[in-house]
Amino acid sequence: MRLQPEINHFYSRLKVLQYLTILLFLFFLSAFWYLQVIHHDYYSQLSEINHLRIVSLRAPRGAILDYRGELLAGNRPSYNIAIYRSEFNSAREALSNIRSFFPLRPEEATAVLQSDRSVPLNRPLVIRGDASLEEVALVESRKVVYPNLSVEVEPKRLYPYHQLAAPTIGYIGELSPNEIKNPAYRRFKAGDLVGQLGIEKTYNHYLAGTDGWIKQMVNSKGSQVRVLQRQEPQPGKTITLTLDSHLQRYIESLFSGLRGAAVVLSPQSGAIIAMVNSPSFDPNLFSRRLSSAGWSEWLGNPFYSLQNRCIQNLYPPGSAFKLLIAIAALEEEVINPSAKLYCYGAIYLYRHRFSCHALGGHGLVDLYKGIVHSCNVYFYQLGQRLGANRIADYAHKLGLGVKTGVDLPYEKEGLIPTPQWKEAQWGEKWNPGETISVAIGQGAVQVTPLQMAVFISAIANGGTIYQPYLLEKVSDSWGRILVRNHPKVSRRLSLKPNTLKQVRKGMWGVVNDNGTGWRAWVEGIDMAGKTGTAQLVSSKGGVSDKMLPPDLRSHAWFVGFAPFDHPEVVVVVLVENGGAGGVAAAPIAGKIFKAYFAGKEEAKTAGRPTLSTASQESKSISSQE
Amino acid sequence: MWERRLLANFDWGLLALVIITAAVGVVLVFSATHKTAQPYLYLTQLLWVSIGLGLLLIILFFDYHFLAQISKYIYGISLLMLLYPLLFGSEVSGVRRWIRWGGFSLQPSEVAKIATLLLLAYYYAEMEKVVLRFRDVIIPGLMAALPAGLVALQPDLGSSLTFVAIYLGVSFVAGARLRVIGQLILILLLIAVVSWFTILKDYQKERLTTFLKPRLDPADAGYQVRQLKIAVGSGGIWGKGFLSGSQSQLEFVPAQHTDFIFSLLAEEEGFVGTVLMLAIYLVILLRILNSAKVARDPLGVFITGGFLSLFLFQLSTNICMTAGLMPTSGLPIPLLSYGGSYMIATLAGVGLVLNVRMRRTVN
Repeated sequence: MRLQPEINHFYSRLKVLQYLTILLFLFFLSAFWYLQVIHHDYYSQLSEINHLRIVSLRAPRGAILDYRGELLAGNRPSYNIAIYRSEFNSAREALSNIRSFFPLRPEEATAVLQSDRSVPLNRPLVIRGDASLEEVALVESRKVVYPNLSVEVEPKRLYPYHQLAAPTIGYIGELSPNEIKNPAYRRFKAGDLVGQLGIEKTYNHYLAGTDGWIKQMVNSKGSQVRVLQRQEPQPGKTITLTLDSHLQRYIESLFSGLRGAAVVLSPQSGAIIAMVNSPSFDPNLFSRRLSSAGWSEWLGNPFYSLQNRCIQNLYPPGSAFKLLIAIAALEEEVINPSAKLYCYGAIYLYRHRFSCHALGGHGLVDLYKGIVHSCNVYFYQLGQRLGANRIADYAHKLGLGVKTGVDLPYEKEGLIPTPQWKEAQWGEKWNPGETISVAIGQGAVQVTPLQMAVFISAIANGGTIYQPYLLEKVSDSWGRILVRNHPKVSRRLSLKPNTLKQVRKGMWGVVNDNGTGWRAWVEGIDMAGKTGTAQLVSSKGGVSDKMLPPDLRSHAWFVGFAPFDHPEVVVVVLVENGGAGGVAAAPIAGKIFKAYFAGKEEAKTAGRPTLSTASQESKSISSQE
Repeated sequence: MWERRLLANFDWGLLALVIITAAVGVVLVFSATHKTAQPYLYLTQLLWVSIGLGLLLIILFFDYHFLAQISKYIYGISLLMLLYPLLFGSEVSGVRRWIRWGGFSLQPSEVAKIATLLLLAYYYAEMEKVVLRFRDVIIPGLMAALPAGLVALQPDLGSSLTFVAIYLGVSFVAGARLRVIGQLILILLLIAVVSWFTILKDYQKERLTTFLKPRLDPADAGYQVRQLKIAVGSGGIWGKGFLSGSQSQLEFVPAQHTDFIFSLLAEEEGFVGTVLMLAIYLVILLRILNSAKVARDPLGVFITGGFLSLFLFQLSTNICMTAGLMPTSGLPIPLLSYGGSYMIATLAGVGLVLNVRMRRTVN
């Protein structure tokens, strides 16, 4: 009764359905096995990226202050528009999703896609840095529709005085691929801003803070459900420099329209009071992301320069080098200070005519007169007596042709030529006539303005070579001093007491005794100095510098110190293609000395209260109590 | 009509498994909605299950022959109900699917499914043929096409396909030649191609194309497929735990209490939970098949077989969707998904199967 014939027929159809069902279930099983067991890790990761977001809390970079506590580099708040990619298959897709709402310029899009690989998936990609308030408002108002866009706050570097001391202070930029590999930058990640030049680079480890972050759980609309973890940002340390921004600004104004450099240094410590480069640049430009068009415009402009000429550019010292020859000659006793040599306006040595700048000659010349009038013939003969090797030895000892060790990156060494150097470099024999050129700071001699400042300091302070420095102290954001920098002595030279006395006397005469540097003279300041005119082409018989094309004209130097009895400041001025040192450089140096002492006077009357030192004093008082 | 020996053949196991599944559904609905604006939905679902079980009980009291005889009236009424929202209904997000009455709304397509199933089974049973030729399946085809067309106009493409599943299922069990089945499938494909260019709405086309090319637009239709796969895959073997499926709880998976409730299960209970749930479904299906095998007469076989193919179709499409193997088509999963009409219709269908089974020896 149970199995009627027709039912039996349906039975086979039901059997088919049964097999179909079982097959389908086996298929389902394998599909879930595939997703949940085999590819679990992949999807698990995607799921985490989906709902866990990391919001960066950018740490403000430490401020850079001058010795008064005046702000040279600080921060201002800025807003970045960023996009989370987790819901998309690629960054490209993420960008195309917001294209109609928030269009990017083609070069912006390229930059975003480039940064795609280096930024972890749960962190957003910045698609527009330093966005306008309108853009921020737009993104915030459409958060529901575009949950993947976010606005993050980032303190942006601000240099309130723009080009002021810019090559010295430096600028910041994104971590370069080379720096990523450098262990010194281990705590930084791609896209982080680090110092690229100047103080910003040297003391990046103090200035850079440590970014914090919030790990948050978000829903599909991108709104925060819960904060899982929070790491507060650590602000960077404040750096106080030895620079005097007022003097710096004044000197920069003296250089307007000129190319050149100036260093103001304390000869008793090596502290750099001013370090001027002209032309300079506006480091604020680097705080924005420069477009390629912006870059090319920037690089082509002759009134911008990133070069720190004080340490990166090499110049022949010209007659200023005669001070070194004088020291070496006195130390080696190849001449007596009072011994006189005759100058006819020229001298024949090694069958070559070496001329003096005074056509009629200086007549009888002793050391004092040689320095005061910068007589070439006198120093040609001292150079010949010393020889190139001894000259180089003394130059290196006195800080010329060697790195000063200043706390700035990219310092150059310079060069004091010797026969061995020529042999190694060119494979040629030393021509004795080259020693004669070296004796007046020409030929292959190349120094930096800062080396000259260190050298003059040694003359002024009695033979101590200080390592020049800019860092006064490092303090935390509460004003507590963490590191206080102390002057470092590179070496103390044991020179005969009379040597430097004689040279200093000559330098006094240069300014005060109708010498080549008389234009530096300032009433009430007892200064000493030396001019230099570094020729770029050999002048044949009285071809005036003024008749040369501007870029072949001589570099003008003035080096000096004051006060004469108790030197407390060294000034080095270099004017590129400025012509004669006594004409182009000396007046500038005179104004610098004047400004320096006037500023000191003013500070004395005003009591010079600076923020940081004031708090330091009050702290020490309270600790005594 | 009601005899004590009916209970002797009652499939208690099937009823128990169905109730267990529905209970799991209530729990999953709780998990899916407890943090949303409607945290009480699991209670509503409980109400639907109770009403469905009540209807199931009522169905048991009537002989399925009687139900089949009155099926043409139910069918007619259901067609009118299908017309009602099209003519008078208000649009809810672009579709007219519901009849609203007081606080409740009824989905007439669910009534039409059961009515069509009964009518087709009754028609074939009255035909008394062992082998069905092409001309024998034409009229049943029109019977299924009528409600399918009305549902498609709502528009609800997924649901209208379930009528096709019922039609093919009943015809297959009723003995349609394999060649006829093949011809029917060809005709259906033809209709599909024609409607692609004429009737299909853009959003429906988009869903189909983004499935084939899922990277086309992540923010919309492809997004769903992707998020579903992430939810299922991230569940792993043991799952993330009850109430802690981040994909579903944080609303990355859309409609997580209705169409995609199985992905919630997969995410929170993992592969183990998935396998257990699939096993329960398999046993349910095999028991329904068994009821069909032991049915007293062709009518019983057709009703049971038809319901089997309806259940199997709905289950398979939903699971394929969940596993990212099919475009998201808005088809819920039987017994688990939230939804009143759907739950009640499914339980009514189960009632029909139990009905056939318990009357296998009654004359």
